[in-house]
This record gives sequence, C-alpha cells and structure tokens, in this order.
Amino acid sequence: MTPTEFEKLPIIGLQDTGTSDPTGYTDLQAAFLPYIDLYHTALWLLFFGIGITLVTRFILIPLLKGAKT
Amino acid sequence: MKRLLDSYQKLFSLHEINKDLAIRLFGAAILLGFIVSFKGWESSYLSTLNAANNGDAICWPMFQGCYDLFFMNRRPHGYIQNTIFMSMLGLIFVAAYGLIAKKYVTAHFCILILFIWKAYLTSINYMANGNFDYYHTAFTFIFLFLPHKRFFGSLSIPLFYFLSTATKIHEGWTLGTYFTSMVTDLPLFPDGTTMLWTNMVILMEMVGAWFLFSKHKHIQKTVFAFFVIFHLYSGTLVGYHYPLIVTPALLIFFGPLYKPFHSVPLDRKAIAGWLLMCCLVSAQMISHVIPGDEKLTFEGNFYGLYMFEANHQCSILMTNENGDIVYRADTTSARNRCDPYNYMFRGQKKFCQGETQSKISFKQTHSINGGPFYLIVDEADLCALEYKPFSRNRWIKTEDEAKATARPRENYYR
Repeated sequence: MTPTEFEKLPIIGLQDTGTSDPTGYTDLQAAFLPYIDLYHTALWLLFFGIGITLVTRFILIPLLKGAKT
Repeated sequence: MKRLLDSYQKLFSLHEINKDLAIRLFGAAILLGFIVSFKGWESSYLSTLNAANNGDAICWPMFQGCYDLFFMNRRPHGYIQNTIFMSMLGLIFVAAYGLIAKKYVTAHFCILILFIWKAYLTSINYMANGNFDYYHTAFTFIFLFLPHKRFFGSLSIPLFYFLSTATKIHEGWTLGTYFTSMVTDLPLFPDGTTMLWTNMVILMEMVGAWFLFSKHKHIQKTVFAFFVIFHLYSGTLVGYHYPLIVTPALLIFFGPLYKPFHSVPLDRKAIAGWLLMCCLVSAQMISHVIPGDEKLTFEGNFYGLYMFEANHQCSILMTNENGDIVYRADTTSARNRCDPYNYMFRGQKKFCQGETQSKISFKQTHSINGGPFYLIVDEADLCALEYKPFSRNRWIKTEDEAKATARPRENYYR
C-alpha cells in the first residue's frame, strides 16, 4: 500500500488511543521508503553472508584440514 | 553408588563445572532465571485444570490436545500447583548450595528436575512462549547436557543476537516504525533519531556481536559494554525479566572472566552442541519459509526469537447467527500480540463444544507498526477452522490478500 493510499483510509482510535495522533511516516522515513526493499535485501545478504563465512572459516575448513591430516 | 555417581558425572561432563568458575556462575545465573520465570508461573491460572475446563488454556499449535496433561489447581481451588512450585524453590536453594559447596552432582540433578518441570509447563501453555524463557531453556540445556559447556554457553549469546536480527529486517526496525508509531517513541532518545538507533542495534547484533569473541581486548570490551548498556536500556521497556536472564550470562562469559577461544571444538563430543545450534537456526527460519508477513499472521512467529517483532493493535469480533456479539476484544498495547490462533483456539473451546452449536463468525483486524488495519480473518464458521502449525493457513490472510480497513492512531507500550 502506498503512503497516499494509506492516508486516505479512515482513522480509527481503539480504546485510549482516541486522542493521539494518527500514525504515518515521518519525512525521514518517507525519504527512505522507496529504497527499503533494497536495504532489506542487502541486510539478508549480509545475514547469510556472515553465517556462511563463519561456518566455513571456523567449522568447514578446520574439519577439512583435520580430515586431510 | 560411587560407580553410579562417576557415570553421572561422566555422562553430563560435570568435570567442566568443577574446573571452571564461569560454568558454576552460569549455573547460578540459570537458577536466577528459574526464580524469575517461576515467580510469575507459581500462581498462574493458565496451567491449571480449571483453565483447561473453562477453555482458557491455550495449547501449542503442534500439540493442540494438551488438555490431557493438565492435573493441577492453584489456590483457592487447590494447592497442588503452589506446593509443586514451592518444592521447586526448595530445589533452587539446594542447587545453589551444591554449586557453592562443590557438590556438583546434587546441583546438577536439582537443575535437571527444574528443567523437566519447566519443559512440562512450557509444553502445556502456549502463553509461556516468552523469548526470555527461550533463552533460559537453551542456557539450561547447554549447562545440563552438553560437553564444552563454556564454548557453547558463550556461542549461544552472539548466536541469539545474530538470529534476533532475522526478525528485525522489517520496516518496524529499519525505518523504526515500531517506535515512531507510539505516542512516546523510543524511550530517552530525541524524536527524529529513532532510525539511527534501531539500525545501529541491527548492525551490532548481526555483525558486532561476533566481536565478543575478539582477541583484541579493546574491541572485545567495547562490544561487551555496548551489549550490557543495551540490556539495561531495554529494561526501560521490558522490565527486569529479560535483562535478568540474558545479562548475567553475558557478564559471565564475556566480562572479566572472558578468555579467548583458540579453536572451535569439532570433536565427537561437540556434535550435540552443534546440533543444538542447528536447531536454533532452523527454528528461527520457520516463520520465513511460510508465505506472508509472520508479524501480521503470526504463522511460525513463536518458534524462534521474535522479541520486538512488531508494534500491534487489533480488534476481534465473534458473533452468533443472530448477530449477537459473543466475544469482542480491542487491544492497543504495542506488545500485546494478536495471534489469530489464540482467538481461534479459545473460541473453539468455548463455543464449539457439545452437540448444539450455533455458527460463530470470526473477524480480526490487525495493524502492525502503525500500518493499516488489515482484515486478516473474516470467517463465517469459527468451529470449522483448523490450524496447521508449520504451513500457511488460508483462513488467515496475508498483507497481500487482506482488505485494508482503517488507519490507526499512535499507541502505547504497556
């Protein structure tokens, strides 16, 4: 859902939130929003990259070296 | 008898407790964790026979027939639960004495009983799925059963930080909408800086946490200090429970007693430890292989770490065939998770037992991180619903399938 579509939705305040402000993106968040999927992809790559690097460096390589000797 | 004790010590690698102060302190931290958890469970209604009889207890999705295992009542209807918990407190005292007096078989055996009791309570109560208990269960398992206790106890801490980022790769954290959609935003920090701090936490947990193992003293101490401060800060929102379980282990393994590991254990005795680590990683990935945003649908959400996964608001409505409301709940507390399974399970226990059943409709709207309220459940017959624990449940709609109905207002963390 785009921010414009979101802003067109009726505002509901459940329970004691009736007097607080409607939610929405800050200017800074809105500026980053178009790139957020790219950023998430980069973070997932970093996540799996770190995982694979650690397993390779500290488990697989020592195991292979051990098997050779 | 001596042979039996020797076998017990060998089986559970108790010599490691004997020779390493850090492991003994780890045992003490685990006992503190039992006190913190059991304090809340001692008088909990949800583990009682009455809760099962009234349909208030909630079983885990993979064990929906758990009511057969309920046997206790609590005061004022009975004292079995309270008596057992007081016996457990006695065991905590004996275990603490065992650790101090170097009677490690006694200490270990007491903690083993405490662990079995906790495993039983967790297995019958879906609401006992707190992340602090997840940490504590893993710590206790390592202390009790694994060889290389110090290594795997140490490894579990950065691994948990690392795995917790799998739940934070989401707008709630990367844009900080979890906090900016609350009236009070992020505690103590100025408005407008939220994104900076949330992204710093993601990077520190994903990358920085591994430097807890650094051989460079200054780097290691800096990362250690960061996480200590992080836990104390997190307590401003979550209270004592979470910091009391995680911080002691961090202090013990990476504080003044920290010793760099020169190699990673890869012998046969280490297999069990690596299998546990694989299980933790696999559990974390379950929610990510089920289509849809698990923070909205909750499918697979509670099998791994999920702390601060999203700021929730929701509304649940159940009506009978005459249009009368039989159940209604609105919740705006950021951490009050609105798991459709909970409402389905309890609703079925209350309204779908016996022969004369009226059709109950079930609607649930759910907003996360200040985003739209999505109508994620809109079913005409609650009693016909089934829940699959490890795959998509078509009656729970994803963000792509559900209709957006409204925009929420800023809420609170209670």
